[in-house]
Amino acid sequence: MPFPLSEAPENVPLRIVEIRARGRGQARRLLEIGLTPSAVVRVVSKAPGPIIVEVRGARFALGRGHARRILVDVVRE
Amino acid sequence: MPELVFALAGSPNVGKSTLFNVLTGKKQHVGNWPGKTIERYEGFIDFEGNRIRVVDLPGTYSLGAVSDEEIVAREFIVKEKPDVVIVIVNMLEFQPSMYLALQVLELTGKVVIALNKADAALKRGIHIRASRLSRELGVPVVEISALKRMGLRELVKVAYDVARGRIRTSPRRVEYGALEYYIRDLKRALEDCKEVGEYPSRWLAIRLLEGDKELEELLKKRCSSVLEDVANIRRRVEEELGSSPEILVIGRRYEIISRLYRDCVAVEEISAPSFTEKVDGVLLHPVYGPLLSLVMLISTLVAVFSVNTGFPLNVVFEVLGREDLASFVEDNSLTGLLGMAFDVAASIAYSSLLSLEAPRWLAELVSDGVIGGVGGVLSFFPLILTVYIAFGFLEDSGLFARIAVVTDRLARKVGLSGKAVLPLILGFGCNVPSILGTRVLEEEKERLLAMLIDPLIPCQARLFVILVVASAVTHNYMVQALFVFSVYAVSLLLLVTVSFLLRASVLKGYEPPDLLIELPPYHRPSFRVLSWYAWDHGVHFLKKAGVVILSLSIVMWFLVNYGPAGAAAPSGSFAYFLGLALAPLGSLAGLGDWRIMFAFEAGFVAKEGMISALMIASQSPNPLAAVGSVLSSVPQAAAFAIAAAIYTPCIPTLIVFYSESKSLKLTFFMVAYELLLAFAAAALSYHFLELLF
Ligand SMILES: Nc1nc2c(ncn2[C@@H]2O[C@H](COP(=O)(O)OP(=O)(O)OP(=O)(O)O)[C@@H](O)[C@H]2O)c(=O)[nH]1
Repeated sequence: MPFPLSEAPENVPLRIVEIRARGRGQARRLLEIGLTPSAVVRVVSKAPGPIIVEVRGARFALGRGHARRILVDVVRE
Repeated sequence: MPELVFALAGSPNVGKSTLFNVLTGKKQHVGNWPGKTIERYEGFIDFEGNRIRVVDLPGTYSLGAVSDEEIVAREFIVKEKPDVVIVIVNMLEFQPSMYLALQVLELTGKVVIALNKADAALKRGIHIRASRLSRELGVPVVEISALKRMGLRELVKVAYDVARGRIRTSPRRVEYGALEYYIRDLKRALEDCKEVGEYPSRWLAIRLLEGDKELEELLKKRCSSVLEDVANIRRRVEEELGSSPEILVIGRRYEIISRLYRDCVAVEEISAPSFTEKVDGVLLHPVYGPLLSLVMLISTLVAVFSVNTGFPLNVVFEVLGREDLASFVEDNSLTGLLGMAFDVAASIAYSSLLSLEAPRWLAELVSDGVIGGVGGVLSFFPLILTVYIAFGFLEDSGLFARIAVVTDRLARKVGLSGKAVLPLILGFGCNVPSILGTRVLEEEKERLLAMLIDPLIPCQARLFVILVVASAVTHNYMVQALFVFSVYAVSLLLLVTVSFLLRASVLKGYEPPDLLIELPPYHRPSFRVLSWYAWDHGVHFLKKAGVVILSLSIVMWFLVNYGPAGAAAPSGSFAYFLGLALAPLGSLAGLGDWRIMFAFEAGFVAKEGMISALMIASQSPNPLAAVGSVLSSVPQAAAFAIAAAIYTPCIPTLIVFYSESKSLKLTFFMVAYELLLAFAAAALSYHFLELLF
């Protein structure tokens, strides 16, 4: 079952299933930095506030709103 | 032979500015892109006797039309057709930086890929097979290190050969699978629209498919019928392929990049967590993170202040009983040195003009008006420079992004995102670079809000005024500190209030944007790069604002020295009469004295000028005595300090505000609200303190 990235546990490889975009262009920034469907992400840390993710070898901080919009699933080997 | 043009493109943080600087050395020129507040850097290189113009395009992740930077970059490639585009890819972050490269390749085939930061990649065990990558992309790939100046000659040579057509490129065409069918449809529809022929048609079709507001505007103007086709095809994609076209297009590009990564990049496994990971564990920690950010910000400010004026380092030495060190720090601060130089220059000019039998007014105009004015202009310079260096340092080292992350939650309470925190904090040093620094905010409304409240942050010049007033009121260090602290507290309280009011009125419906920021690996900034950056920006500002500031200083000099009856000491001058006229208003806040109003007039040009204006008006050579002679009670002093901290920012800040907002209306609005606010706050605090004292 896919779940939002904001709910994801730390340090578990996750695969992006879907980017939910409200309106046009909303998801664009996320996609352009490499958070595309089927990309593998890892939550590095999730203190209160923005969460830190690693995707394609780079790290980004994402606000909670963004994180809720990204649906992921645990990668099964 | 016509001049060749090389363009440099790259996403943020790939080392583009560094490469630009090492390639062009000091032969460069800063300007603005037409109609945009984005700086345009150009420089020249000589290669085998040929002059090559190098244009540094703005750093962007993409060539979509989401921001002005992206529009500038792609319009340049399409319209000005550089002979070659050097796309810089960061070896340490191959995939995200490759995204831009792929997009440039869709736009033009005259491309060379520069794989940068080879030095650091080597240390981290990252290897890229340049020949394979070059084969995959169909363009030359050169490995370089801009920082260590490796591979640069090779890069220029290859780029030169591509520009001259000696190396033929065959750029890889990105295939979009199922989308190709729709791309073809759209391409056909676009054939009827000759007016957009300057863009490659396949590229145009793909861009429109993924939704590009700028190109849609263009179509609306030139062939609006096609616009409908665009909307239709987008809808069909969504229905028939079950996903939005932008996800499909961008997803496809990244699929290719993932494949390139797999085929061309090898990373030696390093088991220990990287340095960056370890440091992030602390700096992004929920408790230590914010504390450390605070410490960093405060130490940055203390460093900036001390370099500029010696304060607060001089106080520390004084308290320690080392008066000698304290005065050494003051005398050798940038402002101290500059001030001394201009005093000497002014007195030399004055006496030599008199000895040449020039009239007295001329000697005064030159020594006080012109040289004093130039000194005034230049007195901003160290402050701007040091704030820029501080900003550059924090940005370059990777600390800026961490500060943005840990302060995000707090910043949202004032209606901003964490990215706004550092630029605003630098306003404690100087509001000019602070307002310029808000350029990091991508969302227009957030930037507007940040710029509007920015001048409420008391800059160092205002701190100086507040300090002098505090020392004139009392000798007790504790009370002085309390006084200064209270003025700052009032200013910041007002900042929060104004932000709230703006969001409840003109910016209704605005929400601070969700944070999205890259956390680059930490690294030690190169001082050389920092100083280039600070110097360029400082000089750019001086060029833009210098003339206005200088003219206003001369006008001010005239108003102070001349009156309806000709030459006049302060009393009898125009400024005096204006002060008299304003005094009744001032008396509502306990400041009903023309000399005080006179100081506020002078503070308009530069806030630190308020104290010297008081000295002139009260004819007292000592700042403390001057302040003491016009402000006799604590409520008065407080009202004065608060008004000084809040009222209309100085001229340079106004100039920058205007040139960044491009709106006279907003500039007037800002001036008006601050005057009103300063007056109200001063009056309120005066009457309140009257009750207490
Ligand atoms: N190790 C290493 N670091 C580099 C190299 N080139 C640049 N850097 C560093 O990378 C950081 C980013 O460099 P800039 O030149 O500011 O990058 P930019 O692409 O212009 O980035 P923006 O200013 O954000 O647009 C700086 O801290 C540089 O010192 C390199 O070849 N090797």
